[in-house]
This record gives sequence, C-alpha cells and structure tokens, in this order.
Amino acid sequence: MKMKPSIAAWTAIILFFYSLASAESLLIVNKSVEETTLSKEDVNLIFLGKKTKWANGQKINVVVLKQGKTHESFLNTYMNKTPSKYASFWKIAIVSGTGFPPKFFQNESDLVKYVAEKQGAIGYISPGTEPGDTKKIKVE
Amino acid sequence: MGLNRFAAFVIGLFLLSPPLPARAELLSDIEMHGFVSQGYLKSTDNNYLGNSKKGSYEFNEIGVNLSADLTDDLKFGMQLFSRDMGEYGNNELTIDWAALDYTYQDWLGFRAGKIKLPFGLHNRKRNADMLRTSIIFPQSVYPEGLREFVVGLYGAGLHGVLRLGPLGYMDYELYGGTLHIASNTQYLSDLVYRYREVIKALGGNYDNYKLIINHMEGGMLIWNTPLTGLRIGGTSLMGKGEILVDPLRLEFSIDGINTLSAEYDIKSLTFTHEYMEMRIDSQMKNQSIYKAKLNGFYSEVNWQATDWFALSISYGEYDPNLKEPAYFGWQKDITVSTKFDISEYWCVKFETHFIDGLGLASLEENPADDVEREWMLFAVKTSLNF
Repeated sequence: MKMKPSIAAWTAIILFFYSLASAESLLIVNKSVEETTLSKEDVNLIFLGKKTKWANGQKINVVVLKQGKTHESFLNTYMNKTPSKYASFWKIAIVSGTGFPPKFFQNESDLVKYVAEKQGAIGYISPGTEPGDTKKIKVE
Repeated sequence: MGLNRFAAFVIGLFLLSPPLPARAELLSDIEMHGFVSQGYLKSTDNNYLGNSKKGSYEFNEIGVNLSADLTDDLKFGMQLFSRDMGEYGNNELTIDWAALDYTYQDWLGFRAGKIKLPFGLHNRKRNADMLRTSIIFPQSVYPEGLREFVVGLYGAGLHGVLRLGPLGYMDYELYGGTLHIASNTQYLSDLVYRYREVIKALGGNYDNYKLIINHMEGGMLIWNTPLTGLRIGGTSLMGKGEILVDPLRLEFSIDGINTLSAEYDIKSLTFTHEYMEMRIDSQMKNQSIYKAKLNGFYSEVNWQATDWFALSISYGEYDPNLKEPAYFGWQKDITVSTKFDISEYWCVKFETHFIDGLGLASLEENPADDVEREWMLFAVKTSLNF
C-alpha cells in the first residue's frame, strides 16, 4: 500500500521551506537604549539615517550586514528595498554630503559584538543567532 | 572665492572644530570614498555634449570625498571633483561640496559651506555615474547647459524630517547663498552667441562677458507617502544677479527654476516622472532684453533585473522657448540604457538615444545650415568607485 503524506505533513514541509526562504530578521539594540518597541516607520527612518536620536537624546549608531539572507529579509520587511538599492541610497548620501553611512559587517557575530559594546547601537540578526549581551527590540 | 581660499577655509574649520581630546578618535573614524569614470560619445549627425559627430572621449568624472562625525550632532564632509564634457569642465579641480552639518533634532538641522543643491529628485547624484543606470542624466529636466545653476551653492540652509503620523513624513530643505557661474557655461555662452548682434548694436563686446549671481534662495519638499516607496515632491529656487558684457551691464533675474516629481520604487522596479520649468528675465535700464520660460519633462522605468544587470527606458521632451533656427525649438528623446555591474566597485554601461530636434544642443557647435532633425547618440561608459 502506498503511503500518502497527510495534510499536516505537507503543511510542515511547506512551512519548513518557507522559513528557510524568508530567513526573518530580529532587531537588537545596545542595553543603553531605553526603548523597548519601535514602529515600522521608526525602523525605516533609523536605517535611512533620518532618525538619528533615541528618545533620551542619545545618538543612534546604525549597523547593518553587508549581504546574505538576513540582510535581504530585513530590507524587504522594513525598507522595501533590494540590497543594491539600499547600497545605492548610501552611496548617494556619501557623494552628496547628505548622510553618514552605517557600519557594514560581513557576519552576524561581529555585528552582535559591536552592538553589545557601542552605546546607542541598533542592528539586526537572524532569529537563530545568539544575541549575546544585547537587547531585543519589538516592532509594532 | 577661488578653490585655494575656500579649501583653506574649510580645512581650517575641520582642524579647529573638534575639541582636542576628540580628534584622535575622529581621525580613526573618517569615511573616505571616491570614483572615476570615463565615457565615449558618438552621434550620427549633430554635435551634442562635445564633438560627438567625430566621437568624443572628453567625457569623464573624478571625485574624492571624505566625511567625519566631529561630535554626535556635528558632521563635516567635502568632495573634490573634476570633470570633462566637451568644452565644459576641462578637468579643472573644484570643490564639489564642503559643509558642516549640525543636527539639533531630526526635524531641524543646519548646514553651511558649499552645499550640494536639492533640485528634482536626483540632482545630487548627477556627478556620480555609478549611481544610476543611464549614462547621460535626463536632459529635459537636468540640462547640462544649466548645470552650474543647480549644482553647488556657497551659503547655508536648514533641513529635516517632519513626521506626519498616518500620512507618512516630509523631507524638507531651505537654503540661501550665492553661486559662481563659469563664463563658458553652455547656457550663458549660447545666450550671448544668440544675442551677439543685439549686444554689438548696443556697443557691447560679446567676447568678454560674465554672469554674477548676487544671491539665490530656494527649497525642497518631498512627501514620503504612506504607500511605501511612493514619494512626491518639488524644488524651487530663485535669485538675482547681473550679466556684464563689457561695457554693458544687464540685470539678470531667475524668477524660478522649479521642479515637480513623483517616483514609485517597488522592489526591483522604479517609475519616475519629473517636470522642470525655468523662468528668466534680463533687463537693461528697466527694459527687458531677454525673457524666457523653458520647460521639460521625462518619464522613466528602471528595472534592476539582477544584482549585476539593470535596464532603463525613458522618454523626455524639452521646450527651450525658441522659434529659430530650425529644429532648435524642441528636443524629444527616447533613451535605452543598460548597466552591468562587474563587481561592487566596477560597472560598464551602454546607452542609445533616438532624438528629434536640437533644443538642448549648443548653437555654437551646430551651425544652423549643417544640422539634421532626427539623429541618434550612442554612449559607453565605465566607472570605478571605492
């Protein structure tokens, strides 16, 4: 007798591959940051360099990944940009003197380490990455 | 102010601004970038942006910039720039921009020095070839002949972001200052060339002229709508100056160089539509000698197909407010551009223009009895950036 996968099994398989493809991102901040939640527009403005201070006046230090699924997922969710468009945005700011680019990191562990050490820092990681001595922040 | 005096001024500011203990940290945190591009232009009939009928390599840009956070709220940056495009630029070294930028709050910042002007949505990236798919900026809205009116201003301005709750947010800028216009800028040399007989009749020497802008003011307002990726905005500037055509003096008034723009950026596609108009008046003894309203628009679709390939197609029209000579009263341009990113730091681009009319071409470089109404222009360019 042939075995047919059940609907639940199919759903599990689809969800597994969906989770691999979507590679969600998680926002982390330095523990000096008082905020516990941000709006989606806040996140957008922070990573475009248009919101530069936390509510207590502390400078926001933005860090991003240089490439990878987590980077693509973050840009897709919060910035509505492809990696090349996001890189272009900062190149335009650089050549026109209208913005100071974020710090770019090759891998998540270096990014986590920097966020943990730098006052006012914010970045993102994949849900599977150990957030170390940083604080997770919710987006509403 | 010449390059040396202005450079000394901004370098002096750079050295004096941060308190001494902060300077060591600052020097380790300076961002430095640059770009180099070289192109080739070839047209089937008329000369455009240089001696394109024969083929022109006089088509390059070189820029180096640095920027640094002096304090949490104060930034400094500057860009040295050199370019060649036919008779213009000739690789003279200039300070493209050099400014101190102080952020009081996100809704209020202050910038002073030589400021890169907001004009349309894309003026600020016109010097950096690698940042766009097209090789030649859409000339119906960003004409090379008017470039020096909208590139950099010596002065000061305010800027910021205004949050509008559920309606999105606004980017705004206001500025004022003066401009330095080179005597060989295409708009000015064409204007004098066109009116050389009038100037001669008035006793002027049309080989010896210059334009001085005494003051210029303007602003920008861009609404980033709640529909993510859709932004709508406008820019406006006006000013006053004088044209000196030895020994004549004409009052020169920019009554408005205005743009209206809309852009929708959705994933790999970008749709752009921009409109520009320019109103100018030149008077001598309160009598108008030259009064013009120029305008143009373009629509463009840009597709970033892959990480390494982009395609853009655009259509633009320009009305220079001229009736003569024949074919110089309009320019319509269909442009197809491709960009290949060989690496993160190197790109190669190819572009073809199908053009009707010579409304944006130089009168001096195209004798009226030796022009064709319909013609094509080909451009190839490669750029490196770091």
